[in-house]
Amino acid sequence: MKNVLHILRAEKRYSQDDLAKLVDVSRQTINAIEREKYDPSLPLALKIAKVFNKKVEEIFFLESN
Amino acid sequence: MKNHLKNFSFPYKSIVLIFSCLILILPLFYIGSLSVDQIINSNPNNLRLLLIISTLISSIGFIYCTLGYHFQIIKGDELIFRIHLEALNIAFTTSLVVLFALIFIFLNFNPTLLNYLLIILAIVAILAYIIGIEIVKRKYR
Repeated sequence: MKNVLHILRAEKRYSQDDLAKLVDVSRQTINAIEREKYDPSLPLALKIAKVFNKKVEEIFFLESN
Repeated sequence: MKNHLKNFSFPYKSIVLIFSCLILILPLFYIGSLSVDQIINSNPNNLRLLLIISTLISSIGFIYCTLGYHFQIIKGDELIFRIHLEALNIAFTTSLVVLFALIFIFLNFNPTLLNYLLIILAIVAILAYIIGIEIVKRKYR
């Protein structure tokens, strides 16, 4: 699964640590998601979407799309 | 009641773990300190009771720690939980393969070693879990 998390994070000038604290996970989790090594659970994806005030599908999408 | 259990954080896990390990091996030191005459003249039920009580207390301690660490991981970070699950998967598969291999080897070549099967398996499972954690961590790095 692809994502634009690092772009959104850069726009908001959040560090990985800041975002991790906002969604209550570790910095390593955010790093793994950004590097597309780990697909977040639905609750975490929803939390991330809420932080950036976007829909989940605007942040996370399948490679074919 | 359910909420109390849900919010229970299993405090003092590390202390309980150390205490359980000590309690488990304490009878060995006690029995080792006795002379041969003392052991021969003593009531065997007393020694048996000592071993049973120490094992029971340490078992309760180990179960408490297992539950505590389990809930700590479940409530914690989801990537760590995922790594834990994948490492458990590796440990379980490794133990199963080693179990069949050991049974085959021991039955054919040295049946007396079957007495130590559980100890060997426990050590293999712990090592496989620790190595598994490192392997899975590398995957997500």
